[in-house]
Amino acid sequence: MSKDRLLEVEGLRVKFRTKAGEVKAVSGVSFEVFRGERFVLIGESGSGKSVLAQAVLRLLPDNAVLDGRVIFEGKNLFELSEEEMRRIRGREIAWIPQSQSALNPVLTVGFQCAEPLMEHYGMKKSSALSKILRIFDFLGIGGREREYPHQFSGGMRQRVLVAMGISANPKLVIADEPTKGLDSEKRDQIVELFRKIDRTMLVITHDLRFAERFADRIAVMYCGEIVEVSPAKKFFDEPLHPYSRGLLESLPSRGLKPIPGFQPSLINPPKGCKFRERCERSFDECAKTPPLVRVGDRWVRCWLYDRGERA
Amino acid sequence: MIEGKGLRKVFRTGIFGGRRIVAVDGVSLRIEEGETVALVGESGSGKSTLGRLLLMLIRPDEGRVFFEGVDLTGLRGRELKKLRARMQLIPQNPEDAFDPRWRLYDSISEPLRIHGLRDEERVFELVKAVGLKEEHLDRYPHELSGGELQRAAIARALVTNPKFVVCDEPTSMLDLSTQAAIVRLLMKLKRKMDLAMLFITHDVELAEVVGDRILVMRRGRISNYTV
Repeated sequence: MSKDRLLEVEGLRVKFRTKAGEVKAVSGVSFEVFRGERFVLIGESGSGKSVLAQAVLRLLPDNAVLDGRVIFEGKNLFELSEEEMRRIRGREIAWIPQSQSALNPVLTVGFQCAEPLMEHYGMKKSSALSKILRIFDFLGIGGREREYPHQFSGGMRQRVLVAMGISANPKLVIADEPTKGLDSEKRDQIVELFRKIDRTMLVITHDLRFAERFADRIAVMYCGEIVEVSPAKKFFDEPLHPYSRGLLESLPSRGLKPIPGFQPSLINPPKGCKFRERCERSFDECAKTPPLVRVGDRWVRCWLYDRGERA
Repeated sequence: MIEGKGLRKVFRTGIFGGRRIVAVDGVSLRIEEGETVALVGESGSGKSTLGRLLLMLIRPDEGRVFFEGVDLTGLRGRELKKLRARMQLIPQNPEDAFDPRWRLYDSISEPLRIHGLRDEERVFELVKAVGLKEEHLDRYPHELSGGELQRAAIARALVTNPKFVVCDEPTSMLDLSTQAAIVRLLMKLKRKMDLAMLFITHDVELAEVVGDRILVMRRGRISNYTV
């Protein structure tokens, strides 16, 4: 496979100014997504994963301070005007939001999905709608385009959001927690649905089982940093970072072992390795901030693997 | 310990109650002292309704519920209230168990006040047992994380020393590493207090870990789980 980079994130930092102080939601994140790849970013609540995704599309509120570069097909998205950015959103990069409140309750789902086509390609309503009908058929919700969001169950609503996301034929699809609030059976259906989409995808989730079934590569976020990037199979066979290991061991099928302690606050994160206080394997080095080091085709932010050696 | 016989519950919705939804359709089950039964099913399969029927939080249209041999379906008001202290619910959203304007102490000790039990020590004992600190008792629900609040909900449910507890997807809103901690806590307390437990979840793997026995619910009916 040729390693053609579609999206590159370099040294991304996101800070929020709040009354309680400055929240460092994302602190120095770099990764790339290759064309055709399914890249899954996993992290628990408060790890900064959703903020990261919204930063890529510049969807964050005004009190967010962004730093770093987001390169999409050679263009730095942070240097584009709002007008240029609007042409990219939906048409080049699609965003599939969480299903709870993303749809307009007073418009039919068909019309809502046709809107990106009318907006970006100037298509007439009738031809946009007929294209949407084909997508609805493809996603297993054929014939329901005249219905309203409340007539759809959670899993079906997720299909509508996917239809909306892919209607304008984007090069990259970013999905935020697509399995949140769904039961196990419906989660499996979402995996099938996402496989069908068949294009470059960046999915943010805390659902490890979804990640295991769907991802080509996995990045793990903890406390605003990426602590590991691995091909999916290797990640689940042998996680490198102690936090990754802790996450997997807390799965019911892998021992149901909790990670001791709590995730530190993003207002005042600890110095050095942010996982140090919860880590069974911490040692003196951990008081210093660990670099992201390469281990074969994987990356890990941990002193145990410094200089590319296994400890 | 607790037994449901031929339970049936129909909800009427729509204009003039024209649409009928059979949530629980003739279910019988029995949970022994100290036993954990895991109840798995998709959303909408009726598993929460079944849990609430066993606790008599809703009344069945047909069938009976027996708790320690007493037929609850025949009881009203005060008699039922007396038994309520012995059977409790741990909800999916811990927020549901707390009044946002009350400090945690007031919420956790409320069941004691309702049942006329004066046992302040018990509150502190349980707060420790669920892994919270005494200072948490002075806080309001929004000042706690999801995991901490679920611990507080467990303390509230166990403060009256129940013998039967329904856990309705107690970890589905929590992070994975927090889920592991909460489930382990529940299992520990269950052994310590010899609780009978109905553990409702949609996660088969979790059910396999917590349940002595697994029941599967589908469209209002239950069957035994076989691999």
